[in-house]
Amino acid sequence: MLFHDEMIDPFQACQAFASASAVDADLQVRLYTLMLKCRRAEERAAELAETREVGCPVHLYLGQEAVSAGVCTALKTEDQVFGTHRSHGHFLCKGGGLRPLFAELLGKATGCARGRGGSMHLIDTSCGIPGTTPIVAASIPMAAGAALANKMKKNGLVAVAFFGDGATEEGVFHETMVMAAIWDLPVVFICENNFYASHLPLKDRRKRDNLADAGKPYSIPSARIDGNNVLEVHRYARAAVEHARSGRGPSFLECRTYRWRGHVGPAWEWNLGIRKREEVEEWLARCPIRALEQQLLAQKLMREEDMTALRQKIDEEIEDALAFARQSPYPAMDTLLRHVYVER
Amino acid sequence: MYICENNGWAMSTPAQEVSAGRSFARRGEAYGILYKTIDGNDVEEVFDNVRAAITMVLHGEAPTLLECRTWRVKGHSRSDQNLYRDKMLEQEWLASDPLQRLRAEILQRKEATAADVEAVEAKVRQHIGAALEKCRQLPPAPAQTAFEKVYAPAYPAAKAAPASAAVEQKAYWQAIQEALCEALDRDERYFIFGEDVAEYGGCFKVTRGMLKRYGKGRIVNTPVSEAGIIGLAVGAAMGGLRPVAEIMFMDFILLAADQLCNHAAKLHYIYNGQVKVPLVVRTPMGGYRGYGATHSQCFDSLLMKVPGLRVVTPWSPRDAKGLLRTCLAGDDPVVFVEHKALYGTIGPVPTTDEYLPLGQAAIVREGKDITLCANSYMVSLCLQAAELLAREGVQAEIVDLRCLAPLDRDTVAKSAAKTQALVIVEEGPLTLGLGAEIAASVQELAFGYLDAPILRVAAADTPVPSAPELERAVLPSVEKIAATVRRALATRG
Ligand SMILES: Cc1ncc(C[n+]2csc(CCOP(=O)(O)OP(=O)(O)O)c2C)c(N)n1
Ligand SMILES: [Mg+2]
Repeated sequence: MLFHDEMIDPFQACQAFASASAVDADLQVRLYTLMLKCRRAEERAAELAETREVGCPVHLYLGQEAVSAGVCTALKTEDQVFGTHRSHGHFLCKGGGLRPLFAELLGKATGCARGRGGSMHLIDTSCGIPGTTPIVAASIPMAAGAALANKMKKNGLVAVAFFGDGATEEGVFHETMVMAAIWDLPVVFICENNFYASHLPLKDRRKRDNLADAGKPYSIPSARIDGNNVLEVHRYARAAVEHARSGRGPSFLECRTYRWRGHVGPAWEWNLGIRKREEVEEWLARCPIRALEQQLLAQKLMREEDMTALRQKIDEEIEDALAFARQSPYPAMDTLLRHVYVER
Repeated sequence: MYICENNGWAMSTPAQEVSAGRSFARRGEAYGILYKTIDGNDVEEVFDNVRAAITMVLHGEAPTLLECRTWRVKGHSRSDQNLYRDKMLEQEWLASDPLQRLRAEILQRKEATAADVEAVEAKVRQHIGAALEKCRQLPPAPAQTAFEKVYAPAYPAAKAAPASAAVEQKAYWQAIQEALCEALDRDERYFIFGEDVAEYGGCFKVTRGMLKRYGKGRIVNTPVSEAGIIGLAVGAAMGGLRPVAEIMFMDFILLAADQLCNHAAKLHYIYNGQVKVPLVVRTPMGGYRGYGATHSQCFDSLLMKVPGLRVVTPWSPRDAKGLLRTCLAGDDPVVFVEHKALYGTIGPVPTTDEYLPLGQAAIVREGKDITLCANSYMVSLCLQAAELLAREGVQAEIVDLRCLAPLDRDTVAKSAAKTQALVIVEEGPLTLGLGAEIAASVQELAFGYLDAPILRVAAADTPVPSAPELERAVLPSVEKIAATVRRALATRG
């Protein structure tokens, strides 16, 4: 019986020219800017969650910024990304604005989902963010579906599914892998392995530390990479996107990273008896932004003062967004029944 | 041990058209499962491999996966004319028919003569013919048996605490945990099964501390796999255990809907009482927290439409404990629906071992002017509305349904007959909800007594939005309940 098992591995080349191939200077600065924007925006959001000004649940992405920055910069504006409950980073890196993000967090009419969604439902169709979903693993089939549409429309676009390690445990992940493989869908599966699904460590949920093998049974090329190394993420993502765009089908990247704060909310969760302080500290030391900062300085692509200025600029943008959100009205009551069904 | 019978076809779809990877068996590789592909039409090969696999399963810890390549001789089912398969391929497979192969081999090895084999074949044919004839002569199953064995019989007798019983003030979550601990203490067949239930103590902390007391063997963390959680729980219940599964938010029960509604709910009935699925699925429903459309839903009234399931929705800590005790002791699949907004509420719980009956509503406030019928957290809102209304001179009676399946229609109808007016309050969307069912039932049972139209307070027929303003507008509130009561009373003759 013939199966779909021919496989061209787009990642071999990545390994071959790993450190040698420099990501060009402008792009490195852009990656840094994006990551810093995610970081500062979320630190601010964490404060707002602490004071309860943000009432919806907030799943912080702090520590994982390299993944969305590295992946989204490998995409065109029209390429689609599907996110999860933890998608502030995906939203900002794909081109979503700070104002609609903060307004959404505050439940305002100017929010990206007009206040209906909250932190877990972010959208900006103008830059390839068709929506995020907090149902674990639901981003996976939707991205494949978007890829199917891209393929049928022959529009040359690629869809990306962001999802966590936990999402690989839902049945729909496996169903989607089969369909993506047999139809050579232009989709990239980005698994952000932060080693926890809420408070469950990966080692209690999986027999082996072999998430990157998840593609193998379906002959989907896959690789395990350092999700805290933004340049590595970018290189691999570019290869995966190229692979998809040229009609060679899906691929799977396990990006190993870590979420600094608790599963939901701003707390650090040092003392829940779930993860050890040393473990968190080890990962804090591997901060993806710090790592790139050092490289930028070493390459003399940026100076300390450039970085300070950039940070200030970003902080100003964030304060502007927050002020905008605070001044915005709540959604009007008469809009309540709108868009339950399509209006014509 | 998993046996995948790869017959090459899923109805009319050839396997290779819809399968990825080198083989089905190789999927085992990603999960550390031993796997092998064998010739499923060679009964001796199957036997040897299965025997080896059983040894491995018994002696190692790894499950095994055997992919047996075989062929479906006929169409998929009666209506399938089998017109879509390549005739050459079909001939090839038919030539390797497992019976013919074994027959030829036996003869070749001279383990039997052709006459011996034919005798066996004749005997089997005769057996089947006789059985069929006998079945044809049996009468059809009597119609009334269609209504039997929807639920398993065994429930402990209801045992309400006497009014004089000592009580302790307990939180809702605590009452639930105590009922769980009692079951785990009493009988080692009980275990807790779900996402984050062990170290973390469950998303809403109901099982906090239980890991220490019972260990990892009985407080079992699962992967993020709702269909698997309920599916395995059903299997474990059929295998003689008494699983208590937790689904983190009621919204996610949809991911396990097949296991719950097509299996847990129906097996006892389909197999005419030969199997039982003593399974309790605990799950919290409800909004009022800004969690948005996928983390706020109330599917209690949806599940009451699935015969075979018990649906229990306690409001008070006392009911939570007394009802859960009964559910845990019973033999039916139960969805025990908790409410996020209630976990912290505190109330008196008798110190005696109270078993409350399923399907008995409770009057939680007496009044003469109008009946408010509600369940779960809506009872809290009704009580507050009743206080408001009392200041206006309206005495509302409140019926807490406590349990939706079985549903106590009589208590509601009696109360409505007494007050002559009824408002039903539920948190789920209006259309085809609890209110629709109760209103229909009450007009059947007490039409002549009603003096005002039956009105409903429910969520709007929209998804639940996240923004606090919008969420408040969509969900029931004290004000909305009070206003609806006023409206009902205003129409009174
Ligand atoms: C179907 C479903 N089950 C459970 C949950 C509750 N939940 C939300 S996030 C989460 C953990 C997800 O882990 P992972 O996929 O690794 O993503 P991470 O939170 O680590 O980013 C769980 C169990 C959910 N939202 N949806
Ligand atoms: Mg994770």
